[in-house]
Order: sequence, then C-alpha cells, then structure tokens
Amino acid sequence: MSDDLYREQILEHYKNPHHFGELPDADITQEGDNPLCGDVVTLYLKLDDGRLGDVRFRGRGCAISQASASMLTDLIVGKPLQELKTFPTKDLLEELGIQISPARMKCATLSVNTLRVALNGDAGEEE
Amino acid sequence: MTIAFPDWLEPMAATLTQERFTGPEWIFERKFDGIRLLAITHQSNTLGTINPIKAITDAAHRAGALVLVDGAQAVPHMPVDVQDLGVDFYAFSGHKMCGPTGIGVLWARRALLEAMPPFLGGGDMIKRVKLTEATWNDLPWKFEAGTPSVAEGIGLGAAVDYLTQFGMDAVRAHERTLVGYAMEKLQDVPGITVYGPRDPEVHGGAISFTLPDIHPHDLATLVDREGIAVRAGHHCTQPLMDRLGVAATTRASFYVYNRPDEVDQLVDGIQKAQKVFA
Repeated sequence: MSDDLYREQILEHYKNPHHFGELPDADITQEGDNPLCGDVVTLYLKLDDGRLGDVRFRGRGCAISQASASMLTDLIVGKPLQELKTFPTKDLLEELGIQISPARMKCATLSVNTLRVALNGDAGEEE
Repeated sequence: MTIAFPDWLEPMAATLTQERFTGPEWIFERKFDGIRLLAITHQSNTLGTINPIKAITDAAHRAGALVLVDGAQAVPHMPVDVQDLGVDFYAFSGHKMCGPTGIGVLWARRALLEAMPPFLGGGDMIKRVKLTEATWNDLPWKFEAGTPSVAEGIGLGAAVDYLTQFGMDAVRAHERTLVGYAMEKLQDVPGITVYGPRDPEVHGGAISFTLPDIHPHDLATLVDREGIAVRAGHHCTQPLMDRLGVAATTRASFYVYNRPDEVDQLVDGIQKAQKVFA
C-alpha cells in the first residue's frame, strides 16, 4: 500500500473520470451522499441478461470519493449482478492502493456503498 | 426523522448574505419585538466573527428580551466580563479551554436562577422533602443534582489557572497578531476565498477558507502532511454552509501555542496542495 494519498493514478481518475455522465435508459439510478462532507455520487446502471451491461456516474466531492467511483465503474462493468450484489469493499480499497485514514473511509467507500444500495436496497454491513 | 423549524426562521436568515457575514451589524436591523430570549454566539466557530455582545444585549433588553450567550469560543480566547457585557446567561465548555470534556459553566443572573426550577432531581438539590412538598436547595446546589463530576471540576480549575498565568488580554493579543498576519499571508494564495471579517479586531483565532478547485477535505489532508492540523467540514453550521454556497470549508485555528512561522507553514501547505491539483 502506498503512503501517497494523492498518487498519480488517483489524481488522473479525479481529473478524467471513467464512465462519467448519465445513462438515459438506465434500469437503476441510485444517488448516495456523505452529508457531513458534501460528497455525492449517482450511479446509472444498465442491466443486460443478468450482467451489468453499462454504467455511468455523476458526482461531486473530494478527490478520494470521485476517483474511487471512477475506479469502481472499471471494476464492475460487464460483471454478473449476482457477483456485484456482494462486491467486496476491500476490492475497491485495493484498487485505490493507498492507506485510507478512518476520517476518509466514508469518502473512499461512498461509491461501493451506493452500488450495494442500488442492487440490494441497503448498503449492508459497512466495512 | 425530519423536524421542521418555525416558519419565521427562513425569511430571517434570508437577510444574511455572504458579504454581510463580514460583520454582525445585520442583527441591529432585526426587530427583537416579541422575542423573549435571544441566543447568540460570542465568537463564531466558523467565521471567526466576534459579535458586539454588549451592543446586541442593549438592543435586546430595550425590546424586553433576555440574552443567552454561547461563549465556548470566546472564554478560552479573550477576557470576558459578564457584568460589563450585561448579558443574562453565559455558557462555555471546559474542553475548549484546555480543560476536561464533560464539564462546562452556565452563568446566569441570580434573580433568574432563583426564579427557575431545578432541571434535574437528585442528591443535594433539595433542602427538605415531605410526602406533600419539597423545598429546593439554595444556589448553586439547586442545579447540581447528584454526585458531582469532581475530577472534571478540579481539571477545569487547573485549566483556568493555566490560562490565567498568561492573562487573557495577552492570549487575545497573541491571537490578534496571528490572525492579522494570516489574513495578510492568505491574500497571496491565488483564488482563495476567506470568510468572515478581515479586521483582526473583530475576527477571533479561527479562519475558514475555500479554494475553487480543491475540496476542503483534500486540502486538509494535504496541509496535514505539511505538519499543520486544520479542520475540514461544515463545522456544525450546515445552514451557514448553504448560505455561503459551499458544502464545507477548511478552517485553521490559533491558540496560545501557535507561532507566526506556522502561518507560513500553512500557506506553504496550501500552495503545495494547489500544485498537486494543478
């Protein structure tokens, strides 16, 4: 795990997020937010025969929350929904590849919690 | 669960705009008529504004309102004389003045305290109890039911002694110098918005700011890495954040242990953060 919270890859995702935008024909649209810091992420999910056919997100907030949402879209697109329903938070944290302090954990996990709400109706156990 | 606030609150708050947050003069345009108790902070924990409590209290009293002041941000940082201010209630907390958590002070005029019933039952707050009636104890015991927080009381006393050895005039003067210097230095940061009054005479030792392209939490983390601990968030003033049009601010605050070169370190940290996000 890198100690550099703002390593190049994270800033790159923040400045040029992947799958950024909306899906007009999304099957599921789910907004998640951290009211304490103002981070917001909205996921647009298009389902295709039991898989996540396509995904977009919109959001605003700190670099950690927005970069992690961008990375999450890369990790989940095309995956079976059954798998995504229990998508492990640690997989996203590994992708982020940095030490997340307790104070910033909510930023790092906003997108994956929003995904769980979208697919299961609740975020389940927070990690 | 959502709780609705009274419908007069929003139009009243709507008279506050960003530039008017630079000073507390707006409050004199309010009518205190019909208000029975005005609760106001002595120093804003977000904007740093030191409110002119004496003048506000005079105006409130002329309209027949009592005044309760939250001095949690003032007592640790400046001399406070409740008699001179003329207020009716004045509250502050131990942990904001180098003391323990879980203890604070509510000062009030004797006549008001004598007229008020106890808010809590327990040992020491009664003089005499019969099956048919009870007599409350004298002040202050009437309001200090049950086993007191002995350790916290001793700790708060030690904090008072600690601050008294500097003298609160000296504490205030030290912070005024740091705020004046910080205001000057922060002007050099491109794009920065600094909230609250510029004048260190009416701006206590807490300065909130935002940058256009860096989220306050990212900024706080990066400045922290340069050795300066600041707070980022809404500072428990969410309606104020809405009014300022921001989700959060970054806030630097000063106390007796801070030095001018730490202001330089803060500004260096902000400029490094700007390079990271450039």
